Amino acid sequence: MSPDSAVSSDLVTRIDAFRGRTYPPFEVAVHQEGVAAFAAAVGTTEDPVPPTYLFGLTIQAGQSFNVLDDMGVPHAQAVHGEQSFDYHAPVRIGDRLTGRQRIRDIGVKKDGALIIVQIETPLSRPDGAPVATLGSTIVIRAAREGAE
Amino acid sequence: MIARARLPDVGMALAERHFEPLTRAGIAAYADASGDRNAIHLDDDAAQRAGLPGVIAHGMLTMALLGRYLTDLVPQENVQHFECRFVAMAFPGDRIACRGLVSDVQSSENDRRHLVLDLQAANQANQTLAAGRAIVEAPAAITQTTDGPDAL
Repeated sequence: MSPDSAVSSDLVTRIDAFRGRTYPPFEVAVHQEGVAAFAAAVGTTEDPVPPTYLFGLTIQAGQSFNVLDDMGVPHAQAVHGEQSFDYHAPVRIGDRLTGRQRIRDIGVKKDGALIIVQIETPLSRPDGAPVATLGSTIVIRAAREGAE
Repeated sequence: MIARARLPDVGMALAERHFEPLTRAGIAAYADASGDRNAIHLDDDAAQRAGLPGVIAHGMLTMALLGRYLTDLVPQENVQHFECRFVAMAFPGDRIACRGLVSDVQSSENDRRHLVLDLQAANQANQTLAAGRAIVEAPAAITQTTDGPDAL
């Protein structure tokens, strides 16, 4: 065990309690202005809606990094490690989508120095037809807490 | 712009594309457009308090550029899966290059072919920033455009 482990184990225990947590459903609209601003920022066109725009939609709906707030982890102590998208149907301007974020798994690496949080967010149309499933991996540097 | 269409096959390299350097203003525009206004992307002092040399680009900005690279190669409706692992940080001034190759060709039950594309975004020092992978329904051909650097 590293000296940091004792310090970080409280944080690990606290965060591990979030495993499997499902958040309340949220709703987002795909606005033309929002897509246009995103497309301009990455130098592409707004039609079709850029493939990674959906992640921004979850942020705008107060999702994704909100798990850090709930865990009491400063955003500066975490990094976005991985992101995935599975596409089931095209997204179009004017769409209204509903999502429901779930903490799929929580793991520990490097003797507790890193906590790995995996979030899954399916997005669907109001009739339930799936549009996309987002997967985010957030890496929390646990050893920083009180150790430096 | 030179466009070239080729039949996709395992091992086929995808033409490398270069983007103009990242700028603070561009990173700030991405922060506003994505909704991720974490101060480490906008404010040097905040970034330094977090142990960084200065503001950094969002990993998702790098992924957005890889996404642009991907959907310029194959029609977006063919893209079924797109993932990215963020390996190193990107800073203002970095010139991002995207490259890739067809790493696998799969035949599914409905006789449609799928391509697995390994993708990479690297900086001017050839350090990998993001390692990506996409699964796409195989188009008849991949149209490669070689030109650049591409504006952000």
